[in-house]
Amino acid sequence: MTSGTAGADPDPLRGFHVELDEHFRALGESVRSNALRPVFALEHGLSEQRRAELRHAVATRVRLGSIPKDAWLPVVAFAAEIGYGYVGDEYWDSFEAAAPGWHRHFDRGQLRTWFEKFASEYGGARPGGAWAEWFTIIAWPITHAVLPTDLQVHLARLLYDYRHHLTAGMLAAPDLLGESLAMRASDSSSSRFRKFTENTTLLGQVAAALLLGEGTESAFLLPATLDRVVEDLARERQALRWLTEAKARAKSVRLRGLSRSTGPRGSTMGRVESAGAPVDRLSDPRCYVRKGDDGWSAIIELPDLSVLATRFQMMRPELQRRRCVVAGAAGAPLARGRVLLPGQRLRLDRWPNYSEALLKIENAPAAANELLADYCRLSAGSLWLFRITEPGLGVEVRGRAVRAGHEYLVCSRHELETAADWVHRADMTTSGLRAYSLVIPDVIGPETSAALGELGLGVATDITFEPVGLVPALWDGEGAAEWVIGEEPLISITTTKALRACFLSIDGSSPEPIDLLAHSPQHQALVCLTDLGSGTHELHATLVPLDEDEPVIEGRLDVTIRNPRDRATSGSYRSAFFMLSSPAVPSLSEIWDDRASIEIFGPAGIPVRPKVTLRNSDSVLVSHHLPRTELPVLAGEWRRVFETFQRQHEVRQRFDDADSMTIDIAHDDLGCISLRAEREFTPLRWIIGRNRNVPYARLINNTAYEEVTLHIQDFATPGTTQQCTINGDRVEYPAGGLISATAGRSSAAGIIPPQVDTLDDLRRSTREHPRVHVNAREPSEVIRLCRLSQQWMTATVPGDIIARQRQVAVLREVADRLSALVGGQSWARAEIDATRTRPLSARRLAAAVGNQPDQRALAEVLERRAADLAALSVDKRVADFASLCSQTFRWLRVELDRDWVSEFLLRLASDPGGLLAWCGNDPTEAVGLVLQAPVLLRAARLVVLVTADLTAETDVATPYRGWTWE
Amino acid sequence: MGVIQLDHAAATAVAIEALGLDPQAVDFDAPEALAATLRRTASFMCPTTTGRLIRAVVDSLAGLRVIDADLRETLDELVASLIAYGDLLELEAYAEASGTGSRLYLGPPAFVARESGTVLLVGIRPEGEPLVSEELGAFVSNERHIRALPAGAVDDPAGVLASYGLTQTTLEHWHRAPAMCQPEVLVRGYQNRLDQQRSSGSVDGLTVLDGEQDVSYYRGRWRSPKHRDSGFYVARRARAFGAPLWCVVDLAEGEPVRLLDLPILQGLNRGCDEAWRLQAAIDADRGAPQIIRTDTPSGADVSVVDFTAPLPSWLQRRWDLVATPLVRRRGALLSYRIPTVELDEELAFVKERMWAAVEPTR
Repeated sequence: MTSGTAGADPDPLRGFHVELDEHFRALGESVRSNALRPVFALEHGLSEQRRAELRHAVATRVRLGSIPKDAWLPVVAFAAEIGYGYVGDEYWDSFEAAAPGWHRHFDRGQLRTWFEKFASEYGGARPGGAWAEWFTIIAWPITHAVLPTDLQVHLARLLYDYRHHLTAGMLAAPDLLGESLAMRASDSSSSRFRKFTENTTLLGQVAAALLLGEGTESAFLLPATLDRVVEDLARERQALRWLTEAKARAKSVRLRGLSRSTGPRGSTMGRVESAGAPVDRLSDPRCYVRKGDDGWSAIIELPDLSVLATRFQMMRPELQRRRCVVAGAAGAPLARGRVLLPGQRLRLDRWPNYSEALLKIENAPAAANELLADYCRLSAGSLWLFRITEPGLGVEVRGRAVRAGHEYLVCSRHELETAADWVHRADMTTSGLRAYSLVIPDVIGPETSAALGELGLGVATDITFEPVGLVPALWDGEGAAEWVIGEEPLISITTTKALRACFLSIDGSSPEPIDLLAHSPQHQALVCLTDLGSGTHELHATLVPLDEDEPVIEGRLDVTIRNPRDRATSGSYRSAFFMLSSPAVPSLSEIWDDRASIEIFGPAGIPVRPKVTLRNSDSVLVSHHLPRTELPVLAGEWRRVFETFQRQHEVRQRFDDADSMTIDIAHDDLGCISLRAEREFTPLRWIIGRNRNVPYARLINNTAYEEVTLHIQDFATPGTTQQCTINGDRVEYPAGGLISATAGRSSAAGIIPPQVDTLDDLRRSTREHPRVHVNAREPSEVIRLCRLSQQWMTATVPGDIIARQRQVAVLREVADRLSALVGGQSWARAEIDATRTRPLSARRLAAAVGNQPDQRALAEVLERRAADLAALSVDKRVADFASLCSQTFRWLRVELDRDWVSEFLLRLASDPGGLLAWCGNDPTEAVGLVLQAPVLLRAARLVVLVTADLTAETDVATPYRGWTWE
Repeated sequence: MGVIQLDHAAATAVAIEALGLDPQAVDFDAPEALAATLRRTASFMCPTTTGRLIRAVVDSLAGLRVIDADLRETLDELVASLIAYGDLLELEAYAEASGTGSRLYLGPPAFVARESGTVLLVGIRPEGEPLVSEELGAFVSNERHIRALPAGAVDDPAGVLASYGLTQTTLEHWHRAPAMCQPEVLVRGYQNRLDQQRSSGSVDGLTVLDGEQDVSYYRGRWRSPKHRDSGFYVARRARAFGAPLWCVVDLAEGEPVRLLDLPILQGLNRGCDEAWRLQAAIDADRGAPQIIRTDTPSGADVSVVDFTAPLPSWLQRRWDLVATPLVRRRGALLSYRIPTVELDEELAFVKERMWAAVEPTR
């Protein structure tokens, strides 16, 4: 549609309406037969010039405050255009900027009404997915924008990463394609893109159009609209390359799908087609043994648990955002999200018990941990066989069958009794296992075979499977191998027996004969496994010996096809250095507020200089190198160097305008790694800024509600709320405090710094001590105080030092009040007295812990050990505290897990704001215990206060120094 | 999905094609195919040891080609070349569960532009992911361990390669080499450091590089210490697990007195690079410099150069840039074909930094 009739009408909007009505009606009719194909408002077909005229026409009428009833369609197209072009998270601001006066004259709901009308009259798309429930209005124009420009690069990358998984079935069924892609999209750094992918129908349609559309009439999008998207996408070279390669793959998949019906591909030498679905063992860990100076140690290699996160949606947030305990591994639990890094090798100091799950997500719902226990487990039984593949390294042989002349290590829970002289006891450092070295004789006679049987081992049959040509991603040297999806495994099958026949089957298909005689004197056959889907497939061979008296030989190879790993720009453990974050996909705010930790691993001592850049859409707001530091950079060191960035005046000024942050590390020899974090796309968000030194809070409201309830809490009286009003889109509040907004089910809080014009203002502001009102000593009051702390802790904090200091003062006040509420007045006095002295008087605190003999004993030992505890990491401190309290736990008959209770107590005592998120489950029982036995919290507070007093670190984000919780 | 039976030729062709090479042009006897197999295998196995990497490749070739000592030797040389070139990095293991000692890691995806416009591709992506797409890969030429995008193959190669996430390595960095010095100065520096070491006591599995032996037969110079050995030696010492460590050792009647592990320079230097240069200095200092042989047929615009001693990675990188590696010729450890116009400048560089003597091929 390149020309229109708008010019003939005195009101161009009516002209556009007529033109668009005609166009959309025709389009709707043409796609009516395809139930999967909705019409999108972006498919208006207007040229660039006509789009400019449309924008002008709509803006003119909006300014006048009236849209004729018979001219709503141009506004729908206009709204879709705004959705297509806007970046960041401020849809309504972008709308208002393009059509000034909208907020004043129109109701947001009106736009939804018009889009609903569009959907019913022309077969228009309807928003879907969870995000459409939260963003009930802007979900319409954004859905009709098809693929907003700033999300295009993310979709191109997703299609590229997913290209090897594409099937002809998916390309023919966009819903299926959308669902599959959405499962992979949750690792994207863009929160907006993650939300976009929740509408799997739209995602599938757009993806199918992009993959299949070029040069052909797309079934899912008007060619002109598709061309426009591709043209915009091509502005970024890398995105175009990703799309090109994904399309090439889609094309080949489609062609192969078509040719499949004409007969088997490739050789005519014989083909066995699979019958059944693959058995899935993708999420089981690999097991190794490695020899060190003290003997053998068991090592596990973490599997790719994203397969679980993909299959069970509820698992993803648990795996991404919680810590994970590895049974038997010494040290702290794996940091949040770290369990999703496949291929990590962990040494087990203790072999897990029979009943113990190998992995346990901390404080996750029971169902999540049950799934993890079911899908990620060591081989069952009480004996494990490892084939020694090189000196000092053994790989587990799950089939527990040995071959003549090979060397093995057997690990058993029990003592093994054997007289065989080829079995020798070996040293094992992993407790709970006994190790035996086996050097299998070159000939396995009946005696050897019997001895092996007594040990619980079998003898491998006279058939050998070996990968050839392409080294597989993993090979246990015996019966299991792993390839990446898209590869076609080549397998050699050999036997020394003279054969009459040989049959192969895959995944339970009917056995087909293959020729194991013709191609080599060693009775070798080479086979290629084609088009295997993700999962574990069983290749089964049946050999019929020439000698009729000999039994049939059966052999099996487990062929696992898995997704590729390590696509992250933040590096891979296979490379010379890499960066890890906890949680796995942190937001900008989480990194800024130190709620996400960053670590960089690589060769020790190598200097690096990370560069941090804040961006607003594509513009660089500020970019600085951090001070030079040396690998490895652990969380504490990262915090130290990152603080130098945060402290810079320019950074503090620009932070609130930023919508993304990248951390880049470039090294001449090690390469480049990068991590990107974006602001969370939320229905409500505060931006804190200053206008002529007057602090203000600006609300980004993407909800359906124009009426928003606002409350403010002063720094002086946290927890005491008063209503306030918004002036335009911002609130100015010179005293500063916490401002919260609620609209429907959505809420958001931000911290407005106090206005400081003079030194007196500064002094007053820093001297003012917050006072929290506390009610009766009830569990509900403890939880209320935790929530209050949480609200202040998670509020948007500007890059303003005073705001941060005031926030920390409030957090500390809440923690102190909570301690006084639980610990009682005497304890509260003891805390005040103890903290008046320098250094803090641990003795004064110990004296107030309790009067009972056991309580005094606990207090004494804590006083004595407090300085030692302060020197430990937080995790080790928790473990030691649990050990020191064990007697007290026994006396109190604590039924909850004691390590968990210890951490609960220390978190409650040091960081009540973070407690509820950590708990996951209802904390009422633990709170009840604390109120019944206040000695526990007093003991924890003693440790918290002494540690804070002895810790030199300067992090200001936590109420107590030395208590930065993972 | 299904199973297709193949003969050896077809199976080889499937594997070669999967490596991104032309099965009509190469098979598994070709160093290009072996280098590609090593790279692909490393992409799944790193961090790993050279021994384990080579063993995995050898195992995978059983049934597709003859497995013999030549294959193992070729693979060993190729791994050394891949390390020097930058496809692999040899570093001390930095994760406890990866074991101790040196490990191979994947080199970062990068490219170096020659002045001629040819671009060398360097690095390995994890998980068998190719460095560039199949479409662009069709333009990439393979010569032994080197992958190059010929001049004019694509417009704006730097921009295209950057879009694949490859970072440009400057010629300055690629050419980075140790400063010039006199051989005796270098030797004295290491001797001084060695003198500061405490008594080493006996050292298990010590082998020394015999300075008295013919400099043009590198492998023949290695042996166990003998009773008559006294003085300063480049050496290697065994470890319980992993490759032997490079070191310098002070011997008294065949017994180690002091020992200094290499490397001693800061950064990511390899022990072998320091050891090879130090041995070149020792040889030059005693009047028997290492030998480089050149073969320039009259009027030819290309020459062939044979190195009889191993090259430190900084020197190999330089030659990889200006010359083309060849299958090593008789009596050589490494052979290159180089445009004759470049020959004098490059030989002068080797003579300056490694104090080598140049002689025509016999």
